[in-house]
Amino acid sequence: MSIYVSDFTSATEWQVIHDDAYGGGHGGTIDPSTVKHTLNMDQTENHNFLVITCPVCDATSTHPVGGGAQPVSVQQMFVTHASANGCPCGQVDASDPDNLAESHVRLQILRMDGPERIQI
Amino acid sequence: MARTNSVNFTGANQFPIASAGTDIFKKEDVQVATKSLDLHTHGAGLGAPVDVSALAAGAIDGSKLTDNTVTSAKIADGTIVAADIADAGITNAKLGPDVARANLLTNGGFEIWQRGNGPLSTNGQYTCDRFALSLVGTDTLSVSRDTANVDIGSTYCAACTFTLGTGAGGTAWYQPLGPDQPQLKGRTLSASVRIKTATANAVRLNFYTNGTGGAMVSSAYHSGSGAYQTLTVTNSIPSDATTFNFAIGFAASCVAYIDNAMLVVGSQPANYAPLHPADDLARCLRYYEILGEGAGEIAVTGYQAAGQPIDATLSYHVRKAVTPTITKNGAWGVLNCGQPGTNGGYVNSVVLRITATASGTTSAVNNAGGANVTIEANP
Repeated sequence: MSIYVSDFTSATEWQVIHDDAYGGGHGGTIDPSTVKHTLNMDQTENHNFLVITCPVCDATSTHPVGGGAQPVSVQQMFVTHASANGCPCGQVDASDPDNLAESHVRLQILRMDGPERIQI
Repeated sequence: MARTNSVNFTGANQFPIASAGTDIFKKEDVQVATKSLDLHTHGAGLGAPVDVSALAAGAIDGSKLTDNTVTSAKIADGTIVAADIADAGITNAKLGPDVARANLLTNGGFEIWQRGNGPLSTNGQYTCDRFALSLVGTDTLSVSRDTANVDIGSTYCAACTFTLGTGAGGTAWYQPLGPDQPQLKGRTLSASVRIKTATANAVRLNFYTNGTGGAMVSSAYHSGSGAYQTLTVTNSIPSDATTFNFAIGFAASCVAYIDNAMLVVGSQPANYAPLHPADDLARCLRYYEILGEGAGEIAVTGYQAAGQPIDATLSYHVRKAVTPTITKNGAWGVLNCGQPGTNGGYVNSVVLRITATASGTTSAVNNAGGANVTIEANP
C-alpha cells in the first residue's frame, strides 16, 4: 500500500509502514521534516503532493492530497504538514490556526478527487 | 337366477335387474331404470366411472381444468419449452445458483496477488488485489496465497490464519464497494463464497452497508466439516449509502481457505463464474499496478545541464479510480543523477524525474530486482 504514516507520534517523530515492500513489509520512524512537497518544472513546491521516504529501504512514495493508496492517513498527513509548515501556495501560514490548514486541505481534496473522497 | 340390483347406480337410483327368463318382471324395473338413466353423470352412484381410454385424443381442452390446480407432478420433466414461458416472465428469484451472471467483485477468484504472496497481516493492508484486512482489538489475521487447498477450477485460493483476541467477531477480510461502485446503491445484492475450514462457527460472510435502513447481514457459519462449503448472503443497499463492504468475517481461531467469491445483483446468489484472465487483471489494474516488473523495462536518458531535470511520462495500463500514490522502489542504476523521483501521479500517468548532477548525459534504469514503480489508488 506504499509508505504511509501509521502514527503521527509527535512534531518530531512519525511512525511509518511500508507494507508492500520488496521482500516483505517493514516500518520505522521518520522525522516529519523529511516529508517534502514535489517540485514543479519551475522548481516551486507543488502543494498537491508530498513525498515520504522509507527509513528502511529508501523507497519513496509520492502521495496525492486526495489520499491515493491510504486516504485517511495521507489526508491527515497533509493537514498535519500544512499546520506545521504552512502551504507553499501561500494560503496557509505555519502560524495560522490548525483548522485553516484542514479547510485548505479539504478544498484541495475536493478539487482533486471530488467531495466524496474527503475522509478527514 | 334371482333378481339382482345395479352396482353402478346406487342409493335411490339403484334399480333391479331381472337377469333370467324365470325372473318376474315388474313395471317398476323400467321406471327406476329410466329415471336413473336420466340422471346419469358417471358420478358416484350414477353410473360407471368414465373410461378415459374411451375419450378421443385431444378431446379435453384447458377450459375443463380448474384454474391453479395443475402441479409439477402432473407435468413431465423436460417438456416445458421456451415458448410456454411469457416474455420477461422469469424473475431473479427463480434463478438457480448455477445460472452464470456478472460478478461485481474485483478479483473474486483470488487469482491475482500483485502485492506479493504473503503472509500479509498488517491492519488495513491490501492482500490479494482489492481485499483488505480489518483487524479488531488484539485479533490477528494472516493471509497468504495457496495452491494446495484450492476449490475446483481454481489456481489460487487465500489461506487465512486467524487468532481470536478481543475482536469478538469483528475482524474481517473485506472488499470495499461503496466508494467506487455507487451504481450499486438502491439495489439488492447477493454474494456467495467457497470456504473450507475444520473449525465450526468460525467463518461466515458479512455484508455491511450504512444509509437509511442499512445494516450488516451475515450468512450462516461454516459447519467446520473440513470440506468446501458455499456460504451466501443477501443485503439491500440503501440509495443514500456511502459505505458498503463485502467481507469474510472471523469469529473463532481457525485456518480457513477462501476461494471463488461472487457478487451479483438480485436476491439469488450465483456460483462463481470466472472472468477471462485479461478482464480479471484489468479490474485489478484500476486500483494497483506495477511499472517496471522486469529489470530494464524503464529507462530515462538525456543530456542536461547541472541541476536541471529530465522528465519522462509513464502511462499506466489502466486509468486509476482516483489520483494514486506513486512509490519508487529499489535502487535503480543511475548515471550523473540521484535516484529518480516523481513530481506526482495522476489518474492516467506519472512523470518520472531525474536531475543532472553535472552537465552531461544523465540516465536512470530499473536494472535491479525490486526496482520498479507501483501505482496505487484505493477509493
